[in-house]
Amino acid sequence: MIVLNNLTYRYRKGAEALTDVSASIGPGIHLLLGENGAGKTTLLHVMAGLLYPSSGECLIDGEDASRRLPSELSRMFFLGDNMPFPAKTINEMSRIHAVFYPGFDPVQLQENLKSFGLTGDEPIAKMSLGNRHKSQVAYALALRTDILLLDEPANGLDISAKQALQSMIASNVNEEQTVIISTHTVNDFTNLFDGVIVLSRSHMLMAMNANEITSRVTFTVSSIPAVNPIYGETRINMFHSIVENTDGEDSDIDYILLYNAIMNASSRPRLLQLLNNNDNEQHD
Amino acid sequence: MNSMINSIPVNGSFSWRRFVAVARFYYPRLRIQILVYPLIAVFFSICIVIATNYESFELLTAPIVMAINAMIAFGPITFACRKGLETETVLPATATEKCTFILFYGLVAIPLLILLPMLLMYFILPVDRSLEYIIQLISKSQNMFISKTYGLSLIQYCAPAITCLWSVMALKNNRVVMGIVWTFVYNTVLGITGAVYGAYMAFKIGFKDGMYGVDKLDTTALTNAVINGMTPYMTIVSVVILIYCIFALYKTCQSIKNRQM
Amino acid sequence: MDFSNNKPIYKQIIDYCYGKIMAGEWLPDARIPSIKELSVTMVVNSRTVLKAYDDMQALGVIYQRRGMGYYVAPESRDIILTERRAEFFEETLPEIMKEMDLLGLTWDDLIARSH
Repeated sequence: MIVLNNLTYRYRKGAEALTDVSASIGPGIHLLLGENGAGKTTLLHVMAGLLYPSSGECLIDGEDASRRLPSELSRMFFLGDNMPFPAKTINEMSRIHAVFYPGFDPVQLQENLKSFGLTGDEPIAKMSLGNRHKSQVAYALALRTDILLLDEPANGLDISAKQALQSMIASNVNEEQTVIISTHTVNDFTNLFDGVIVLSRSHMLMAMNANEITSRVTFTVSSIPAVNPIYGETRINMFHSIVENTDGEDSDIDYILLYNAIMNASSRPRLLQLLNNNDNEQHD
Repeated sequence: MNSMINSIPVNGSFSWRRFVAVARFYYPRLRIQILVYPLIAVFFSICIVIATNYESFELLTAPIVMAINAMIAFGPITFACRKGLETETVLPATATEKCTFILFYGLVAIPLLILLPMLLMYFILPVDRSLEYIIQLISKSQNMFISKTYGLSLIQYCAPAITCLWSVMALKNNRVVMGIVWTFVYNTVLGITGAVYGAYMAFKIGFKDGMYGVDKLDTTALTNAVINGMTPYMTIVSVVILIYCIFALYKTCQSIKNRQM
Repeated sequence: MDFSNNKPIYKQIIDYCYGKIMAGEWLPDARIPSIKELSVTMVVNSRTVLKAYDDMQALGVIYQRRGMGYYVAPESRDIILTERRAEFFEETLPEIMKEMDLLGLTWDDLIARSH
């Protein structure tokens, strides 16, 4: 469980990348959304222990991430966007680095690499961006850490690689793991998410489970406009809307619609009020 | 699964197993240095032995000693030879284990990689120059004047390497280049203060003697007088360098422990 | 699996399972894929598969044996037939009738066409 308590991160110049962010993030695959510069990468860095908060705290199962205790670090792995590995090949990386992570499964690593068409002996420096990314994600998933933070994992991947990645995530990740995927290309993994976290301009707008969301709102697609929608869009002559869930049926979540709705100033208040449902419980 | 092979502990107390894992983590980038430095040291030893048969002994040992000093001073740069500082920063080991390894390798192992093979060569090869003489040569080139206490001289000898290691650990970009730069800065600052003070002393003594009507300034006497006059300076400098080294070691450990990415 | 239509994914998974049962690929009292296995095949979240399985279990189409997984119920074919018929009358038929209205078709047109 990752708990953020009034987390604030301030750059040296004074600008805030994260402002008073609070949330509890439990096991599951979570989508991290936000515009460029919203603070997503900073948030992931703080969770990973790479950055210390300016104020507030980030607790990993009760331990402060900034203490960088081996017990917490060994249960967590962060794969940044364009983050180099200090090894010539993935296999060398697994020899020198994976030993620190008790959950590492070398067989899984080979399987993951194979489904991307790689062996692990390719020199990383000579790989294309796409292949480099593939091998890194294959490695990250094989570490089987309790917490996995992925910043734009589908970056630079072609369609078949993205599909392979989706399958890989589905088969590699178990229910006890907490995976946070920050991505612009929501559609690539949309069926996999258990929850969504939205940051905007250094503030946390929402951090909720899919179950909570679908129990309170419904996402509809229809050729006729919805009645009193919280938010709606027209796409190719179909009306995509978010309405209050009145019949208790669970729909699928349209994350792009949800994101647009929450970023929209006029629909945000109503949406948040409905989602929070007078509970004062904003998370988990 | 990893746990079935060779599991290292994940708790917070110092673990030798994990220390070894840290060493293995850094090994690929240190491999070349571990191989090349002893070879160069052996080569230098042979050169020195050959040179003892000729009168130009001094001429050859001076550049060799300079080269050795440079190899030790700039040795810690190998730590910067791999990208991927993020994985290093949050490597699941205690700060103590990481600092211990990095400091040990940078400041103890690197000099040993050179000095041990030379020592070995000294016992193997026929040479009648004493080891002490060579060590004196080394410390002579390090400072401008021979330092009185052997211990302090050792610290001063490591100071450039400490500077290099500190900059490599504290910087996130251009680590190799800036590591070299800062080490040069250290040496230059030390050299300049020494030269300035030395010139000041020479002028003061010379001026004083000239004032008292000494006819000819005897250069040997002048040099000796300057050397004697520099002794208090040397003591002060030694102490300052010692304090600097302690401070630099502390800052290096802070960088290793709390590096922000 | 390609979840392109507008039906909620968990319902499409249920349809997929019904298809397997009706086609005789999943036989009564035989073990069906675990939630994890199916979530990997479908490339969806286990939670979604769980919802589908929960619904099917509530209807009596499948049953669970503790620690051993999910199994096809003996009466599943009948239940599925009832469910599908209900769905036909509640959802499919009204849609067809709406289309017929829109296109100005009558039942006689349909009968004539079907011969």
